[in-house]
Amino acid sequence: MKKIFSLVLLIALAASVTAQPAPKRLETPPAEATIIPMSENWRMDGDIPTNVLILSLQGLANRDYPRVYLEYPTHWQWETVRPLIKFMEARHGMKFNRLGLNDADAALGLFGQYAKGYVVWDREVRASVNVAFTAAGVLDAVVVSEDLIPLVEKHGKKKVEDLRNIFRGKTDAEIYQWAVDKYWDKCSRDYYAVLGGHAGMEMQPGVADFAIMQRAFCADLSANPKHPAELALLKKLLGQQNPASTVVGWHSYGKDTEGQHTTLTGNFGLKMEGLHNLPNVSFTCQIPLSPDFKFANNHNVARDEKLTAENKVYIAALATDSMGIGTWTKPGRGDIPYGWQVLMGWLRLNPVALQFFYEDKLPNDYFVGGLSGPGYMYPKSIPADKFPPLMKDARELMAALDLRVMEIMDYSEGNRHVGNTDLPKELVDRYYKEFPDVIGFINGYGAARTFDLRDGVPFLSYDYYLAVDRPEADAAADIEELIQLNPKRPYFLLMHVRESNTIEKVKNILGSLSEEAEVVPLDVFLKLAASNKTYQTRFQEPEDPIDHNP
Amino acid sequence: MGLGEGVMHRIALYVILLISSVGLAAAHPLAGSWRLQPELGTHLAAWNALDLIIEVDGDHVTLTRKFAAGRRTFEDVTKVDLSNPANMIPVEMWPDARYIGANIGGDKTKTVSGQWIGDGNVLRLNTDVVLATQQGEHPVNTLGTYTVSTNGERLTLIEVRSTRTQPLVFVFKRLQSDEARHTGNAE
Repeated sequence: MKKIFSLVLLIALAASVTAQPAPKRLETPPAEATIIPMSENWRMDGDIPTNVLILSLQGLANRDYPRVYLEYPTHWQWETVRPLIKFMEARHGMKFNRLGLNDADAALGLFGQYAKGYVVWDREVRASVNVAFTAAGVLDAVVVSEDLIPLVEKHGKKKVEDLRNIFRGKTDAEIYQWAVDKYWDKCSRDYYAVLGGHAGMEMQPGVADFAIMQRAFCADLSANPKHPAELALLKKLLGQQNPASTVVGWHSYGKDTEGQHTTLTGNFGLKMEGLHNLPNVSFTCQIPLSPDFKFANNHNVARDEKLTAENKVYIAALATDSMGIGTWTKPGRGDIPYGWQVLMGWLRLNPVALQFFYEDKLPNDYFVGGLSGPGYMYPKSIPADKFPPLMKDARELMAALDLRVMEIMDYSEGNRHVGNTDLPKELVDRYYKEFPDVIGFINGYGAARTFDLRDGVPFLSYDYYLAVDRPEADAAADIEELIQLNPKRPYFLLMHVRESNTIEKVKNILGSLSEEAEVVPLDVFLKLAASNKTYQTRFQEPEDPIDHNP
Repeated sequence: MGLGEGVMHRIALYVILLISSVGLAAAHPLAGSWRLQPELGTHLAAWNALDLIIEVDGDHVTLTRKFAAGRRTFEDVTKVDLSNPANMIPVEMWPDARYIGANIGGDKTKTVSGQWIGDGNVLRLNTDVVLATQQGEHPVNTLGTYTVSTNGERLTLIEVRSTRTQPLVFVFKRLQSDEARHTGNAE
């Protein structure tokens, strides 16, 4: 009874902490569902037509119940597609039927009833796919290219929208304005979908199923000032979304930068939830947490415990960029203390994935909250009046997920190459005020320079960024150089591990240091850093360089 | 009848010497545009590409570094008078190791001295800078040696930094004038 009460409380919390409604979650998981293995080929001139047809069908079939799960190729950025199948089978007792590779015909036979018709996109105009996804959500239709019309008509579907030949020669701004004029009023104000990411002939709109399920407006409008017409339209659309609502997907690699796009969403107080190829959210958002499951982190110290640092070098390593696209399933996990940033919004969008990570964790895995708030946000870009309600949301998510450390990243005025990624004192003040229960804050992505300590709660920045292509010997020399550059002891070296680096590599680097250093869990690291402040308080200064991510 | 034969010879010699010195200055082996060959040396990290433009005018050497990582670029210029024992040069940003927590500190300048080594084809620069880290400011010295291959097509820069136990080796190839820069473009 107590467990059921806790679960109900958790679900209620997930629904209530924000103005935005959480997707409906089932009380019990489905007994069975269907897997459709997806092609390796995601090119416009390859299997994209069939892939987008299946994606659109998935979004419609899953709208009221989780029926279809797509098994993406093994190279897919989100690597947890397959482990999650096994997890749901074992933990939720689900059984999966399996169709043939990209078998759209069989899929339409099984799930065609959930589509009222079809939308035809224009293979000559890339943006028409996104318009077709928007129309599909609004009209409850599957998305087809011209050559697949016979297939859907074989299954009794009628044409409800035809985008062929009407967009040729038009700019993306003009195309999406057409879509706004026709469909915007019927689209969700809780979700906006940026179906960008890969550009050119490659397209990976893996989150389109969720966009269609939610009737989200889909586009890859640019946040780059070099594209003023697209930027103006994007601002107009984001400005009409509900407060603190969610932008799913990812910016277009061919148009703007992550920094530009996330800055813009922050300007409107909206939460970013990447990625464009995040798979199966229409399915996973509905899978309930197991009744006996509770989010429990691997705390190594009590919240109010005090530790005393010795005169030595302490290192803590942390992987961000979300656990699903990192090296969670790769060799080495558990060998050394390691931090993992949890995308907290997944409590609503991907709860079963979070349950998988929490139950699969090893004693050396430690979770932290992020990124900067309840979603992926840059605090410097958030208007001050929108900051408190967003951080209240983040605070409650942290409590629900048993997280005690908040990670912050801000690329609104720079990145790991140019500009700065630091926070002014006034913003650090606000973080301390909004998160009175955390044991520490961490800041940066590349190395950053914001440091503070207040009432036993340190605010530390990354001192090292381990790039994916950095050879082990060079990385060891980098860390040894940092140890030379910071001669006082204790020295607290916080290391950001780019997500594709294996823990095995990190272990090798740290094991090869000629200097003595102790690798400790992040919570222990923060408690030790609170005991002896050898780092100097520093905030962003007026003369720090600023670069708006051109 | 005009100048004597000896005087004519002397004038001719001066002219030849003058032309030769101008020619030598323009054709100093170090002078030119160089592109980093990442696979031949120390991993550059942070940046994906680096072009180095060296201008030589006697003891006046100007080194322009053009870093790039996708669409992100950074350029700095170091003008050194080798006859000056301490050239003070403003530093906007320390781009050499953006992946570690070390930034330009002190008065945001670097002090550079240098000399030609051997037959004058090798340049050695001695650079002092103050870096700011989480624990405060820390003086750092870098000794850089620029050596050109005998065929003039490869430049090797070996940097020894006082805070680093491993030398940094950067190998560049000479760029031809019609070779387009590819650094600084979108990833």
